[in-house]
Formats: sequence, C-alpha cells, structure tokens
Amino acid sequence: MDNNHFDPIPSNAGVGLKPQHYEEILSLGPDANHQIGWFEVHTENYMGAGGPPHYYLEKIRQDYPLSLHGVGLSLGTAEGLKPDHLRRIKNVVDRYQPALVSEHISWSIANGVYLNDLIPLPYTAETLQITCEHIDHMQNFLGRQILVENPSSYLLFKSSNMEEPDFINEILSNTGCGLLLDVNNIYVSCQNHGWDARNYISKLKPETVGEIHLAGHSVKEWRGQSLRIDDHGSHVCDEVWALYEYTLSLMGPKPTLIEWDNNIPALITLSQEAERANILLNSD
Amino acid sequence: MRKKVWVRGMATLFDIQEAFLSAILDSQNDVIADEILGHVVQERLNIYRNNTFITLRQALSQNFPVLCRLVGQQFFDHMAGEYIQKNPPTTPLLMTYGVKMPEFLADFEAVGSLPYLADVARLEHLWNMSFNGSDTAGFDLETLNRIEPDKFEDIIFKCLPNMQLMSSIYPVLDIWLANQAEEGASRNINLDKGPCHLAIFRKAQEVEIMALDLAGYSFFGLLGAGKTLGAAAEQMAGEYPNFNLQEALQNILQNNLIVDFEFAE
Repeated sequence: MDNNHFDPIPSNAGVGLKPQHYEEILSLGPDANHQIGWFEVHTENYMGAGGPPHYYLEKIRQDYPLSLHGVGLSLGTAEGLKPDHLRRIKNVVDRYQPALVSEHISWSIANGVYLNDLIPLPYTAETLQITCEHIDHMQNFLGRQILVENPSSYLLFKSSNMEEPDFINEILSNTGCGLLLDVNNIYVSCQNHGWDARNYISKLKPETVGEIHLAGHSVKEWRGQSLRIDDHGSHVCDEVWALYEYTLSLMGPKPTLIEWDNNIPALITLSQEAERANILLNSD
Repeated sequence: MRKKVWVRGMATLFDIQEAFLSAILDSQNDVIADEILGHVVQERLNIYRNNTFITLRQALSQNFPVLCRLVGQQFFDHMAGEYIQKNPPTTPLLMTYGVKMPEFLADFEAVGSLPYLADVARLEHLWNMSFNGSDTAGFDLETLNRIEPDKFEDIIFKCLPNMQLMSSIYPVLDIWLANQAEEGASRNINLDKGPCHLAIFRKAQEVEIMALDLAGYSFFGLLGAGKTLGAAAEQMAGEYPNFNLQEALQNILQNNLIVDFEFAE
C-alpha cells in the first residue's frame, strides 16, 4: 500500500503531543523547536466533533508531520472490531492526513466493555487468525498500511504456543502491515518474563519497522519479585537507551518517538529526550 | 458476571477475554487465574485491575473537576470506583465518559445529604459536550436586515450546535463558579436561592455558561426545538405574559448564539 503521499516522517525524533504544550509549541515555532521533528497523538483524543483539541492540532499540523496512534480499537478482540470506532479513526485520518497510523497487538474490549488498557493476548493460531483479519479489515477500510505495536505485559497465558516475536512476524508477513517497535515494551516484557531482549529484537526484520517508541517505566516489588510497569511517567532509563542503540545498529535509523503520558514534564524536558535520540540516530 | 468453566486447553480467545474482563471488574472473580502462567498471579492481575481503575478514575475526575473538588479526591475515587463497576465504558471515547453520573449520584446513598451533586454533574457533562461539540462559522447579522418584515414569523433560527440547556432547583451555576478558583475561595452558597436555568455553549475555544430567567429559558428551548419565530412568540405570549420578545431576541443575536436561519415551508 502506498504511504508516500502522506508527507512522510523523517528518521528523526518526535514527541507525544500534550494539551499543556500546545501554546508553547505554537509560540516557539518549528525552528526554535528543532529537536522535535514531528508529533504523535492518541487518535481517540481527537474524535470529538470540534473544540480546542482540533483547533490546536490543526495549527500544529501545519508545521509538523503527524502520527496517529490509536489506543482503543482492540485489534485482538474476539468479538469483532467496532465499526463505529473504525469510522471515527477514518474521520481523524481523513482530517489530518497523518504520515503514520498505528494500533496495538493487544485487546481492550470484551462483552462490549472497554477496559482502557492494553491487555496481552494468548499467542495461538486462533489469536493470530483473528488479529490478522482485524488488521486486514482496518487497512482495507483506511486504504493504507498501518503499523502495529509490540505489547508490554505483566502476565502470560498458559495456552500460548508461539513466542511473541514469532507471533509478531507472522502478523507482519500475513497482513503486510508494519511494526511499531517499542523498545521500552520489549525491555519491560523481557524483564518481567525472563526473556532475552537482544534475542527478541534480533528476530525482528528491519524492513518491517516503520517507527520506534521510547518511554520510561517504573518498578514494583512483590514478595521478592520485581515487576516493571510500563507507565510512561519518567525519563527513558539507561538500559532502554542501550537497547535502543542496539536496535538502531540492526535496523538503521527509524522515526523515533519519546512517549511521556503521565507526570508530564515541561516541553524542554521532552525536547532534551528527543535530542538524546537524535544524537544516536545521527551517529552512524 | 456469571462464572464460566471450561476444559483446560479448550478455552477460546472469547472465553479468555470474557473471564479476564470479569476478573478486572470483580476482584473476587479469578476464574482466569487458571489460564495464567507463573507465580504471583494475583499480583499480576492486580496490575491490570489497577491500570483500568486508575485511568478510568482519572478520566472521570477530568470530566467532573467540580464534583471532585466538592467531595474531595479520596471520596471521589471511592465513588468513581463504584461508578466504573456499575457503568464501565462501552466505547473508547473517554472525553465524555460519565454520562450516567447524575443518575448514579441521585441513587448513591453516601451523598444523600448533598442533593445538588447530581445537577452539578449534569452541568459538568454538558460543559464537556459543549467543549467537544461542533465548531461553527460566524454568522453575519446583516443578513437578517434584508428579510421582509412579513416573513419574520416564518423564520426558524438555528442555534449554536454545541449549545446545551439545563435547569436545576439548586443554584448550580453559583456552586460551579465558586469552585473555579485555584485556591479554595469558598463563597457562601445559598441553597434556597431558587431554581436556575442555564445555556451552555462555545463560540470559539471557551465554553460559556449563561444564566436565564424561566421565560428566557423556555424561549431558547422553543427555538432549539425548531419552532418558527411566530409560533415561539405566540406560545411565549400565552405562557409568560411579561415576556419581552424584543429583549430576548437581542440577547440571542448580540451573543452570537444563532449560526443560521431558514424559512418554514
């Protein structure tokens, strides 16, 4: 599918767009804000009919390429995609002509209830078939390629009989969609499940990767066992930066997003994180 | 939620997701635990329970900031937890999550001594609807001057599409205003002040709330329902003998609450 007429995102750093930064981004302008090459938004936050969210995004979109990152479609749900939500996504895509459109390899909807979380899937042939059908449907409906993000998880299902990177590769080759490679998610999941993060990344195919995510996470301790929580509420940790460097050494430079969704810092802090990614992206 | 049992290894994706949902919404329900690998299964499940409830409580406190301030964050979180269990979201559009909050509060015994809370919640929900509602292009009042006087009574005005109307037997606007200040600038609210009637709308980026008298509120309602100016004026004259049509129209036009008009067939 042809993606190129959508004003492509360069292989530099972008950040997640937050309402508290709208005014500052507009008053700085792109030249004074040069570490941030593009913005990503959660698609669901721009599904209202009108109002300030659209007012600001339309202005910012004039100066920057945009990526739409959905959190609500629930590609892995067993009860089928919600057509009205797919229609809402298409409306936002039509309105903003984003360079990238992405969703998650996870589920959020069961019995018609939306859990507002990205819950892991059992990796089975049944799940693979359902998820691929939904990705095909979404790509056909939008008339373009989408990216899907590898999950972070705190538990695994007994019924899984495929390894996560193999499951992802099957999805990519069956549907032709691209991968949004979230380095922090790989680190979090590998720590939580005792997997080898470098081995995981080395199984992924460079030509499928359309975007990289970096974010901060936290650690919780229970009965001597620690679990990493993917809360997007702090700086990217050194281990994840190291894993990012390793990823770039295999994949080459890719558009890289700094995600920071909780305890949102000043724009300058996001810009500094973006600068750190830009240095690594340009170091070859 | 009903308890589901299946033969090990035979659970479909649908079964697993249904059982997972039950476990999230009801911490006593742990049928799903059998399907989960490894140690500290309850703690792992609790991460998902917490994520769901924390983020949905955040969405509710964003959508109902005055309600949250009136009852305090701690009590709000408790109340929101019960709301989420009774009314979990059915769409990923959280910008308007909480539409049933007024009914929920009216039945929530713990706030029985604060009967105005339900109407405060209703005002906040309408504020939100207006904030996220359709934008409008400006309307040129000059076009009204070109209408032949004998056509006036056939005019059907189109009001701002994001305009919402509500009335309450409590002074909810006073309560709302008193809780907008950064610091707890608590004003004395007279709960016996009598009913209030409100129009909530947004012209550019700011939501505005306009207090109306009962007649003005009824007139807005008639126009909003698509009545012709003639029919609305006639009904108003019958129900509110002191209603001043000229003044009410001026109020609506000067505040740019009209976005268009047409003539009845």
